[in-house]
Amino acid sequence: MKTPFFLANELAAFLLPLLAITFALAVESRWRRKILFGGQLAALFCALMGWMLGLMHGANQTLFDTGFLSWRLDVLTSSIVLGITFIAAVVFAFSERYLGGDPSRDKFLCMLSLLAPCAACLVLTDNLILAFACWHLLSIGLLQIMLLNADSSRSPQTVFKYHLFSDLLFLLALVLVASNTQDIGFSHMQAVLPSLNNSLRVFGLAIPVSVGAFASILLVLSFSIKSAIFPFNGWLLATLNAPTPLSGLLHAGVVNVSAVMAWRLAPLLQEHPTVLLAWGLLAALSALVGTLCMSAQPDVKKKLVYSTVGQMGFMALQCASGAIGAALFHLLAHGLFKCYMFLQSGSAVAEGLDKRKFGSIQVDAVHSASSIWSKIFVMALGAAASIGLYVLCVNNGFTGISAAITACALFCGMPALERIDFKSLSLFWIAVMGIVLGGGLLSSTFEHLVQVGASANQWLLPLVLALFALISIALQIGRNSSLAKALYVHSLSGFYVDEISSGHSIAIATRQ
Amino acid sequence: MKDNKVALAQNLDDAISEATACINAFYPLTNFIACNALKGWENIPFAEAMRKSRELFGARGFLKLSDYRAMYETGRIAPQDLEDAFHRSYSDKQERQPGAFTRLSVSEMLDQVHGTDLVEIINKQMIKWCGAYLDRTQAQWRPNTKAQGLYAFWKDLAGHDFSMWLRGVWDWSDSVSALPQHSSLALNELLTELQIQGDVVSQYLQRHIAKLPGFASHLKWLEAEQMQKGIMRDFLAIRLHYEIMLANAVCKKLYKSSDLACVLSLLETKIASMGNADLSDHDDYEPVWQEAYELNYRNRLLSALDTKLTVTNDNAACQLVFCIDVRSEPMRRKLEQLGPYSTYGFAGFFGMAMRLTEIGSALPIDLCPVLIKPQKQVVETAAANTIAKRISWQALKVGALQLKKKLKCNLAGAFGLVELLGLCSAVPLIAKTFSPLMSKSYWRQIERSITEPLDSNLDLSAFSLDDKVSMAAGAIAGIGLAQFGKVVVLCGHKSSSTNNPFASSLDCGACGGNGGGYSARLAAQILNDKAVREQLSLKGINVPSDCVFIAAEHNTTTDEFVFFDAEELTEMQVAIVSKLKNDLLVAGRSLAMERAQTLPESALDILNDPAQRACDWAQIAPEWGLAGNAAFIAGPRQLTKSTDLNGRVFLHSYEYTMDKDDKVLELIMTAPLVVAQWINMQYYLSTVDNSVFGSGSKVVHNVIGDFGVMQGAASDLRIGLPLQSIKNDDQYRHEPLRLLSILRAPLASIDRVLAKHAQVRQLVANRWIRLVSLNPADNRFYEADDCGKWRQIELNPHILSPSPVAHC
Repeated sequence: MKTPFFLANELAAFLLPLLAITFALAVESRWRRKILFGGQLAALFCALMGWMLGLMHGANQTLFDTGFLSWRLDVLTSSIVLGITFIAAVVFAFSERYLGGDPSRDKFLCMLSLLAPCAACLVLTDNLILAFACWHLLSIGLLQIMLLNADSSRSPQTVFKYHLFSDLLFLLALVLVASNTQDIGFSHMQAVLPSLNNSLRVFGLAIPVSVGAFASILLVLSFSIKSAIFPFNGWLLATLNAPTPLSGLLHAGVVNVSAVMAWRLAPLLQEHPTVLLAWGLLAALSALVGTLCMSAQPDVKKKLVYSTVGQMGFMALQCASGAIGAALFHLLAHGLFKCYMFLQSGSAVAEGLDKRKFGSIQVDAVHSASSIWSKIFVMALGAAASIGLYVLCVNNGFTGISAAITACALFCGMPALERIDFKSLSLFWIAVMGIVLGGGLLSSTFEHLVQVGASANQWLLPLVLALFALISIALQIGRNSSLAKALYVHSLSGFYVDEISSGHSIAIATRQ
Repeated sequence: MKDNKVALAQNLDDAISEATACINAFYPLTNFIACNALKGWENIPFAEAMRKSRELFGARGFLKLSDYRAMYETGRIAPQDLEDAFHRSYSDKQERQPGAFTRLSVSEMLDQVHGTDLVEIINKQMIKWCGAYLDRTQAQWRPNTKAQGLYAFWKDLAGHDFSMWLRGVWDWSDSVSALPQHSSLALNELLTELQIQGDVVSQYLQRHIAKLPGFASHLKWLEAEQMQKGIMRDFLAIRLHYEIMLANAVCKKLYKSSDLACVLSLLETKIASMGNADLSDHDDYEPVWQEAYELNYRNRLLSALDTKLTVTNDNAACQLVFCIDVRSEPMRRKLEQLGPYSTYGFAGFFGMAMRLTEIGSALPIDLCPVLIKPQKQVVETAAANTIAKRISWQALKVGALQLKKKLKCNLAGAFGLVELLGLCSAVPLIAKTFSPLMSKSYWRQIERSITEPLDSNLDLSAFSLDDKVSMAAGAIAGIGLAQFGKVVVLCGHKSSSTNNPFASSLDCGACGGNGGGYSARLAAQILNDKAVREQLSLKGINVPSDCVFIAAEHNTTTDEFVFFDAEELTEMQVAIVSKLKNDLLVAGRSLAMERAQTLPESALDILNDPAQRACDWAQIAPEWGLAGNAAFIAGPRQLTKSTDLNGRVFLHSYEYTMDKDDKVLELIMTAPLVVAQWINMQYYLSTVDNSVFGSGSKVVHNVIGDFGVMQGAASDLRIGLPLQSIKNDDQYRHEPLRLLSILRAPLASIDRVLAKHAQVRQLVANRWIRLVSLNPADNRFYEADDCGKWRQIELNPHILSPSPVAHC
């Protein structure tokens, strides 16, 4: 009975900003921004209402079927829609001031108000065609918004090329699926899967690959490009020529849509564990490369870009190992985190100064006995939290545990630790570990919400995490070796993605 | 043999310093110092320097002709101005020798002839390596090399780099290890290989410097500060190595020849046949237009000044000393309207240089203009208990920050960190975006509940009594205080903004890009010292015992004032101070609201409030800084008191009758005037060509290390001011006018100072500043063409008051 109201809220969450744009175009500049702002806030309010209804609604998925336009309604969907509208509203408010004095501000804000509804619609719709339309609109919106500030650089075109390629792969996969199943709804996927087992025919020639497998390969490739997974991360670097808030939105929103699609298409992908495994390995490589590159970069924005490359790799890895719920949680958490980091990126100068003032080892520092107790306390609490995570979480919370243990080890090695008095330290650390436990529990709740059935490759995630821990320790031990130096240089150079992908490389360009 | 080597190295160093004359040291953003980017060319006429900069950097040195014409249409430049400008330029005209044929670098030649992009490739590598080497705070992973210096660091690592290999340089790794251990040997070898010898060396190196001027400028700063000796040489050696390796590869590919020398001579003839692109004088009228533009402003300003000066005593009970910064002028004007206050202008460090160590800090800061190196260390102290709490809190904050950064870069921690911390980021996202002021005050409350309010003192034990007395006497003479009221407020200034890489560019330049509060406190403490006052009275400076000096700090973003540790005050002084505080509140509020009208606005009106701007992380233009600056006036306040100068003028107090031996005049002309010229030139250059001398739009800035910004993923280090500091939408806030300096002093005194200081004289003679004297002998204005050459200025009586804000 509540479903229509639920639906109304969700639809309003992406229709209101669009409505605001149409009104805004009719009035003068100052009011235009107010109206757009109003649209954003109203959308956020509706998304919040929808989310609360979703919580009441519970985990069972509902399909609001109206034929062509059918919508997915459940708590997960509404959570993601809430995340999208939240980030959109924050980024909008931020840009409204940040682009002050920039002649392109109004256009930028209009375009910004367009992007979020596309993403939200993509999440809500159950229709393959509408989903693709949104998917592609995101690319076009991105191109347009980058063209606003493009001075002479070719970066908007570079970015668009990647996206176009991703969109084409996605389109091809959808056409294959739809033409073979005679169906365009995500939710019927499970039922019509057998029809995809026919082998692929090209011009009458049978190829020994089933339609489903081929479509999966296409999808996985398309997702990898869209999420800027290594080695397809070239476009993400090129977006740095656009204003900071756009990066905030991009890293929080656009790169994540592939996880949403992976979720929708999970039944199909689960049928082809080998494809998923290949994707998982590529994703793990991306997680590794992204994180290494990030730690070698000397500037704040490239650090954030490579961090996203790593995080997207990890998210894809979660998808590939069947932990779709965890991936969706990662998507939300990473979106908020990265958005914050980007908007905050101007503080790097002040932070660097603080670090040099207060973070280094000081000769006259108070070396008290309490510093040993501090370390013991830090370690003990970390261990307790880890055990808690292991016991309480669904998939044993390995991600959280490895982070908690690493945090303890890193914190104990810090010179600043010796100057913190025990009382503040214990309060701080209890709060941190509280956040760790809370976050772990929340993510495990999320995993409950997704029902994907038995999933393939479940062993992959803990294995990769263990491997990463080993690599991290090995790098620490062998940091003087020439191998580590070489790895550092490759990481500093971003593993040469730019050199290889930027057309005129390999040999020296000669335009005679 | 050894002598030969030493001589060779010496020659090389000379050539390098000649080559780097085209750039100026670029200070790190943590202490942004306004500089004239073309300082090295102050020994040649201004117009000539602009022509050279066009040749070398492709930079525009003047506004566009269409801009000038538009100003002519609107009357901003009058026909009379243009006529006068023609006269003056005509008399200036010197025969200019045709520009010597500039030799291009090898990479440039190949790029031009074969359409390769070697310069771009080399730049990209240099940016990568310089960034990696110079960054001290961002990258969590720094390789453990024992190498000292940029060259050694690079040589140790670059062999592992595949970038060159991917570009077709197959023997890259071997070539790096075959280089000599020391960069001066390497540079010599490389220059020999390129067949560059003798006089052309510096020219050739200059071509390379000009390809990456931002990073080179920062390296020049590092070298000048003696922190990294020879880093410029390292930089050039690495560049040349890249150039040679790439050029060899191209030659092999295109000419099937490994004889670089042979190919080079071939290239040179080709370039010569292509003809030197028309860099020659394509427009000689820009300098004339600029002159006319400036004459117009000069005439308006001069006719607005009140030249009928009468000698009056300063009887005000409350005197305030502000920094000469242009932002002080409107504040002084507003305050003077509210009561019998007399205000003075003096450099914001009050002539008292110190190196200060704040509580808990490992990094002392120099609180004085960069022309001076402070000799004395001052330590901030407080009660032991407060210090401990403070240090603990600082360590906790920075520890948490470092933990987050380290975890983010750790393979085992990065993914978990994001999942666990991610949803928590929603809180600061909302708070900082929608209510910056409230979130700041909550944070303050948390901070206060943990640390006790800081009641700190400055430990002046490094200063002897004689030091203090001479500094105090210098300050009193420099400010020109003859009578002392009951209360003298020494007012430093600082700005407040957050999430702003250019924050320190808004702070006090006289305090080395820091806030001015500490300097004011130091000065007040010294001037209140009983022992100092006793000694002063022996020197004939009688500070009455009922006069107290109080330190204050003017926040230029919100125009609010903070008063520091006031001594025991008498009842009368308490009354004066409380009235003053009240008046400052009123004056500041009105000034801040006026400024808010000109800054970019948000649709959310509440966030346009200055107090919100000061702590808003989304705010790109918290205030205007020194935009609009156009003139420097040293003279009594009476001269300017009746005029609204619109915050465009540096006001320095000066009374020539009190300055018998021209000591103060000499100080003014060699220090504050020079610093004002730096600031003025930085704004000038950033306005006329922001893409070369400015730092472009802030919205795409990418902070590298904690010392500079790039644009986008990788670009040259951007020096100069961002667009947002000089314009709002299409409205320029800054008018590019060379500094008009007006001194109320006898011509002969000024001449004496000019004759003594060649540095200042060349600024005048080469038209980097316009020097005008209000000659006390006949109360008329004279303009200097050079030392000893004065022309009387005829003012048209119908001239309007100085133009308010820029319209370009």
